[in-house]
Amino acid sequence: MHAYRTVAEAVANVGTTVPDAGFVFQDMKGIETSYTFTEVEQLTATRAAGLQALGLVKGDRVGLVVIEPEDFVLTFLAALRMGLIPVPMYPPLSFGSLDAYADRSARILELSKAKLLVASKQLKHVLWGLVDRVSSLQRLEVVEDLASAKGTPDFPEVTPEDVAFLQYTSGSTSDPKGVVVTHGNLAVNSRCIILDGLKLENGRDKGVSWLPLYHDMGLIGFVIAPLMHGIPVVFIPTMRFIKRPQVWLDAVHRHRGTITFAPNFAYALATRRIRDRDADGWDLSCMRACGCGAEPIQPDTIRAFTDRFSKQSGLPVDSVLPAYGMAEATLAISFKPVNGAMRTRHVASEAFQATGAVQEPEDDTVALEHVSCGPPFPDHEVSVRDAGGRDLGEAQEGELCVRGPSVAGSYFENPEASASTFRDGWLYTGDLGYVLDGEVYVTGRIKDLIILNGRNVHPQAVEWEVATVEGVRKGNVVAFSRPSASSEELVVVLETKLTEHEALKEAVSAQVRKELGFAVADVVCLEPGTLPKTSSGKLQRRKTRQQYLAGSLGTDGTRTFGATGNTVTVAKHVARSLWSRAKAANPLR
Amino acid sequence: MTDPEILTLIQAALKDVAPDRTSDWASVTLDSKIEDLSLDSIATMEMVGFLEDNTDKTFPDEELNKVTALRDLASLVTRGRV
Repeated sequence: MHAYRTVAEAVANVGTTVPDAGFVFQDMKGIETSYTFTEVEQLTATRAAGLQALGLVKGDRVGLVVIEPEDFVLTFLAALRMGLIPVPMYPPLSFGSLDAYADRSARILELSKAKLLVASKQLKHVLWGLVDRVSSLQRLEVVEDLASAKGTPDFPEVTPEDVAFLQYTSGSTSDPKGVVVTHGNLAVNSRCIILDGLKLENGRDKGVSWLPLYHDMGLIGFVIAPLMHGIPVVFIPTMRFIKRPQVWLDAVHRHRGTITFAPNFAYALATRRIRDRDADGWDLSCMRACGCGAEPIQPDTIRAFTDRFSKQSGLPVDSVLPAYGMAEATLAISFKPVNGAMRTRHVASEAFQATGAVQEPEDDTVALEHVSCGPPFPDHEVSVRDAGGRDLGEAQEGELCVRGPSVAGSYFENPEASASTFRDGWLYTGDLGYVLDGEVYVTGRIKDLIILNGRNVHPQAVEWEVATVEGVRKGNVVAFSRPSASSEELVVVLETKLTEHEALKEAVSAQVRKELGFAVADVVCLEPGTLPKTSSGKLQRRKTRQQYLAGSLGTDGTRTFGATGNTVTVAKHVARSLWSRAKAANPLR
Repeated sequence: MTDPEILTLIQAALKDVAPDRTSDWASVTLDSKIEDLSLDSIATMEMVGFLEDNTDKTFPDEELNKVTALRDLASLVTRGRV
């Protein structure tokens, strides 16, 4: 396979080297449309002509809010061939008054100085108001109209140094930041993913993905990287997977898929929701890598998935592939080696909590289980650093920092954020972790750490202990710190159905004291359904802490979305869910 | 389908997506609001998927957009719109 230097070059030529390979797009009903890469070349040329006819020139930014995978992929690639810089944005699911959605979309379009907004036809009426609102925005184009454009595109020269697209990352409290991804970044990271990490071969391997295409794991992992190496992919609409998780593995079975990726939650969802009769007749022995990234990896979830589907459908037990990455590093940083079992490491809890030192646990002591995300890719380095930026070496927890050709150079027109994240060629990820025997272990986010008397305490460790106490609702515990006279104190908030709280509070304090050696300054017991969660059901530690400090915990409501006074519909409810999933899916951590 | 039949189906859907809260689901009615179910939204969409599977229908996105109470879901099942 020829090594393409840019995505534009790959789209134009890859069909000639792998004439049988291409993309398959499923729609919401499961009807599949197949295109060879040669057809993808022709269809993107048509759309490129449409973009050219709108008067756009190389370097112009184009907002992209497109629901259908087929329209998204073809338009995105057409823009790249024209040297345009797409700005993928998530679509709203509700056509109602999604004010926050419009605000955020307007902000991204403003920050990126987008000239054009390309949107699905059904979103036209929701989005046209943005044209008036965003000063740089000249017009909205319906994506379906681009498919029937006439004329011949005059493709400009696109070089590896050219910006390919802007990947906006979430910022619930701050402005969204647009990671500047070049064609060179994409070529390198694609090689890392396809060849170094997954060791894929033409004619043998095939991807299956339901991941949202407006975020990096779906877009780079399953559109750009496979295209640059001529690997076929089957795309399933995200909403179709959420409604019917069985369509995911069913597509793997029918298409003989070998590669898929998903966040941890999806493996839990598939294990829980797929019925035996759905899986009847499946043969998943074709799978080579079930990648797992984008959120903390829970070994028990993964084991439950592989246990079930290896017995039932022949899924290779070792196919699970933990991965680490983030948008600022284009996508991927390290993968578990494709051949070999998922590795987890048991670490002595006390020493790790106290000093961040990684030590073997002694018998009968509390151990933490950490998942290895494998070694960094060739030509890439991971360094673990303390708050002063000093390298801590191996077996010591600190901030994970990454250097190499996949690392993006900056955030778009944001020198302040760029300077704090990208320093001396190193990407400071904000993730906590360590390196041992050359492999990367991710342990948390710096912002969530609790510091008790100078000791770093991972909230997860406390939450895990508290969840073992009888009467505590599993998965509904939040630990954080509150300021005290001298330092910080530990607070635990939990949900319970019990009405007698005093005994429970004592039991919780006793458990944390006994297992972790910390005093708990306060235990708060709430009714089920009152802890702040994202709409996708993830606990919100920071919001819980804010509510606690403001004295509003348990009274604000949480999964009640009526705070704005708007009626909440199923679609809005789900739109929020997908958005928070998308945020989670953004860094591959 | 009659209202009681649809309620039973919705309760089965809720039980399927959140089995640990079976006792809560016994008390829902067609007047219950979606947002008061305290379901996370992935689970909400799973519930919709369950209803679609068991009624052999696909609810249009623009109709789902109008659903605020379980009664609206019942209308989708019986009439295909809210």
